[in-house]
Amino acid sequence: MVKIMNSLSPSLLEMTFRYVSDAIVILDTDGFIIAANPSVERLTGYCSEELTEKVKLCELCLGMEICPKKAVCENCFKTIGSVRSLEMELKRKDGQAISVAVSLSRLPAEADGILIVVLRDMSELYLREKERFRQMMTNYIITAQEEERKRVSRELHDGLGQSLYSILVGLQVIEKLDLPDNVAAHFKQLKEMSLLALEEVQTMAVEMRPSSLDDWGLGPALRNFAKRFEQTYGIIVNLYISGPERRYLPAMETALYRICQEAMTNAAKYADTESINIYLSEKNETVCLAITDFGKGFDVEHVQVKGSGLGLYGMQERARLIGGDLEIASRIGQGTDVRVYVTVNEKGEPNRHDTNYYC
Amino acid sequence: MDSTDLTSEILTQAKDELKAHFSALAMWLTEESTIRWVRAVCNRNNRYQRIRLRLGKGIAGKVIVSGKTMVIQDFQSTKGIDSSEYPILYAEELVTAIGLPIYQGDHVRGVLLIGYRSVTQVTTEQIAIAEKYAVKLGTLLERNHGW
Repeated sequence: MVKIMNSLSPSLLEMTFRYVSDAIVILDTDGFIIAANPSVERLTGYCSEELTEKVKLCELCLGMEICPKKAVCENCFKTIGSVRSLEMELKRKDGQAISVAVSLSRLPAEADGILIVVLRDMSELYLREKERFRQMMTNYIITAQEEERKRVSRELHDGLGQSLYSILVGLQVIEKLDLPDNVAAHFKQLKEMSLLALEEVQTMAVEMRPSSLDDWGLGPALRNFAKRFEQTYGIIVNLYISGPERRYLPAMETALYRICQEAMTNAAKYADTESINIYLSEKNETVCLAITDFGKGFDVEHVQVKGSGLGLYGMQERARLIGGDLEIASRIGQGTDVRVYVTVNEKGEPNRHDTNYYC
Repeated sequence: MDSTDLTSEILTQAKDELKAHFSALAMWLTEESTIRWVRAVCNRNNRYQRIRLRLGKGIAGKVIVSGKTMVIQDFQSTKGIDSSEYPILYAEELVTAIGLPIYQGDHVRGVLLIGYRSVTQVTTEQIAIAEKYAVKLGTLLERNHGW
């Protein structure tokens, strides 16, 4: 300890001042900058000569979190005492405003009461934080939506669907009785209507979230979806599955299923295609899902948003949540190709997925 | 001339008189309990042949259930539409569409669809003309027991 204290020679202090990554500005009691280290130049764009003895720090300050009246305050660096940590907005030489974390240390009178200001760039941290928050929100929304769909789908299937089925069975019992002709005709209609209602409920449940996805996995769920899609939109769907057809983490199966659904719906709406190919394969622990259409295609660089524009974003986010890479390739007149790659381990879990996402 | 040609003939006449870009006939098929587009003229592709609609869904499904004419003035700017309900509009790139019920006695058996690929103001006169063709198709269906 003693040794270190001794080694704090003036030249070491100077070296520290010069090479420390935090920007250090020293102000006199009038708030003028009397020294600035090279890190200040990197942070503000002003070189030491431009600042020293000429500029008040107040002129670069666009306001601090402690002053309620932003930019109306006047030379508060003259009077301010020591503050361990506060946020400040700083004007760079190029006019750009950046967020910095500041700590102020007022030296005692023996040291002429100078103020040491240490600045640290926060803008990158803020951006990262903002991005992290955005991803968290998306994750939350997607998970909440999926949970709700699962719940409603199950309610429809097990609740309403079961009741309608019981009604239908009851009707079939009555039908066998000897009914007068006028009643029998009404009865037949009633039975048909009940059957339609049951079919309707079952379709709704499957469209909301197919139970085959939970019970049988991605391949079978996609097979069913392809069949329904063909009848809904009149587009021929060819599904090719290769590699070991096995179960993956539920979250991954859901994400891939939804991406496929979104890509195909987009194709049905905008691509003007008569057929779509789906390829699901696993090779060397990399799962690839590709959705290819043979329609109009579009300019990937300049996407003309026709719908909400959320579809594409949603696909990317879902891919990100399971640590997958989404690639969209398209050329005008040559169709569109949407691909997701996910690397998985031997248990069928994606190698780098967001663990908060579990639906 | 057999009924196939007659149906297409009526669809073409309706399309031409209404200066439309597309016309089609949908039928409710009891045995399959689905609605299908059984005939179309000036179609861009054959997607219509594979589409199966449920009662109450889409233009055809809604017209059959309600027995009333339905008009979509501008499909693209209509918000909150479930795309899976209107596949024919996407397949044929229609933006304005009129769906009319085709009656056989008291029952709605089918739907006549008149479609435009650019936004078109639909007038009551046009609807009256279209209805005339829906009646014609109904008579034809009754006479031939099919399309």
